[in-house]
Amino acid sequence: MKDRNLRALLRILWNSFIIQVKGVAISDYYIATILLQPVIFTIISIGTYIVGKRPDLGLFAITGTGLISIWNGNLFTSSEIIRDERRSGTLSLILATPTPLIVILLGKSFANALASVVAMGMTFLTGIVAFQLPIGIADPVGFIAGLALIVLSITCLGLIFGSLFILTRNAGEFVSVANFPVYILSGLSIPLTILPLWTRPLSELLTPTWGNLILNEAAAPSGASMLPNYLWVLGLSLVYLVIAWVLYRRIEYLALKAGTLEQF
Amino acid sequence: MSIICTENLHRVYQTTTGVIRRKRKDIVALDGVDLAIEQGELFGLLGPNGAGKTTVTRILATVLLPTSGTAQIFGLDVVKDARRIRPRIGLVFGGERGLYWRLSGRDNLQYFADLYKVDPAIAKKRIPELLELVGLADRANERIEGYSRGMKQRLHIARVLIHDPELLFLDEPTIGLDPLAARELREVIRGLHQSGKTILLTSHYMFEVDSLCNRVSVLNKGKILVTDTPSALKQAVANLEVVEIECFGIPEALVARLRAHPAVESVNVEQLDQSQLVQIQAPAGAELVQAFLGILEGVQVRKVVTRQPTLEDAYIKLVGKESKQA
Repeated sequence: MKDRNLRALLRILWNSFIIQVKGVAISDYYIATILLQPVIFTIISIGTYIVGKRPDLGLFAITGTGLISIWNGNLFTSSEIIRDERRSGTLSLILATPTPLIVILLGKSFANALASVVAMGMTFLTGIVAFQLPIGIADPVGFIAGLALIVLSITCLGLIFGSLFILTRNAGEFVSVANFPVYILSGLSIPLTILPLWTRPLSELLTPTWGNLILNEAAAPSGASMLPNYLWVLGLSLVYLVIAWVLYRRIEYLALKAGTLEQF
Repeated sequence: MSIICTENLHRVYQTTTGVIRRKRKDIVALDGVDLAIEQGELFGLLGPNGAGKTTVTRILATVLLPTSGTAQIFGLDVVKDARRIRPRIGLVFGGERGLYWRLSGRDNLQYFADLYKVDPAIAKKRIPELLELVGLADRANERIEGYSRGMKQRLHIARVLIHDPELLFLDEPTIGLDPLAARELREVIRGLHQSGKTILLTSHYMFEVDSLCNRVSVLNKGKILVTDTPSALKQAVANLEVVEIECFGIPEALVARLRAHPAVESVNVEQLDQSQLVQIQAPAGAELVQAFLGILEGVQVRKVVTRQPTLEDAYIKLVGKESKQA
């Protein structure tokens, strides 16, 4: 029985993933978020370091901007999932099925996260083509493993923000604003060392902080052990998932109470 | 025991008005609805726009919470036991929404089969059968954004049957369909009922409810006015006849004078393309046509017809009386 349930769960995750991939492949919005946004962010970021006479921070700018793009792409496309469900009138129908909404959204969000990895490629390409930065990755396996883990983790973090879109169609403004602190506190846009010390605990609760260190270490090794960073990412991702699960149950109840599922 | 049972069901929506000084406003959608629907029934919920039909359907389908009162399905509470109810019910909303437009008809069915945790072997067999049932077998692999409205509605029916639910909620399933497509869909609904499904059908097409349903509740302004069989409802207007006068530009004051006529039961004005159709219910054999035409003196009249009342007239009488009292 348990085996059957697990197989059913995996099938839902897989099919939700595939449906989202089919949608992403033909959506202008997703393509713009994943392909164009990273180019613009990379130009601004690297340009700032060059003007500030710190071209040595080029690699930091590339990985940081890549993660910003992944985070941005994942967050906005995940919120778009709920908007799409509202627009197509399927939100209340999928809610009326025995499958928990978070399972459906997890499969779809992961598809978005995977698609947003393209954004990392775009940042590298922009750095190489636009600024002729000599970018090499010393430990490609470590880089890919770290990237895979952080993509999964960002998916879980994005689910927490995405849940707000179930409650109201106007969550976009809140998410747009809440988006910035995540990549500032994670040290993706500016080095963590220039942030006030009191922000450090907040930074440590965000997995992009640890993911950024993992990617930088893989690209230009300093010899530091990354095991604690991997453990932080794994542990925090589980915490995100539990928070998202609880949040979705609660928000689902509030949306049913407010009767806002069909508004778009 | 009733398969659906509601007691004193209320639902209030909250909205806001104004931009700077926003005021919260309560809109009463349901005002004490009591329903009891038996297993195997094809039960109709009739009412004008905004009567509360969709709200009842959504509450029963576990996608909206009632403000107060209770609703039970299969003896289970729709609020507390929603997760146990959901695998046993199916929900169709009218209109084109509710499907994944970028997917094919077959993929839509497959996805909903997964969400309802239908065994893959059963889904593999059932999907082609359902596509055949709704006449979409030859278009099953096309993206549904290219489907006509009628095809999408038929796919909705296939979708709702994918997990073989005992109870179906069909919320205005034929809305916006051309007459042929609507007739085909009604035949499918009739077939489902004959196969043993319990169905709650909401509609504002009287003939649809008349031809399909065992029993009907008429809902207006969130309240049930009457529950009976279509023939019993028609019986309530059996001693009446309907005078239909098609005219051009009838002033509201003259409609009020018609309503004030002591023999008139109700008056309904329907806007046609360029004219108005005034439907007057009056006692049969009262020979009141001349009196009505006298009231309409000066108004250009195109056609006058006297006919037997239908379920629609029973409905107009009920809803009209309620509006008059309000």
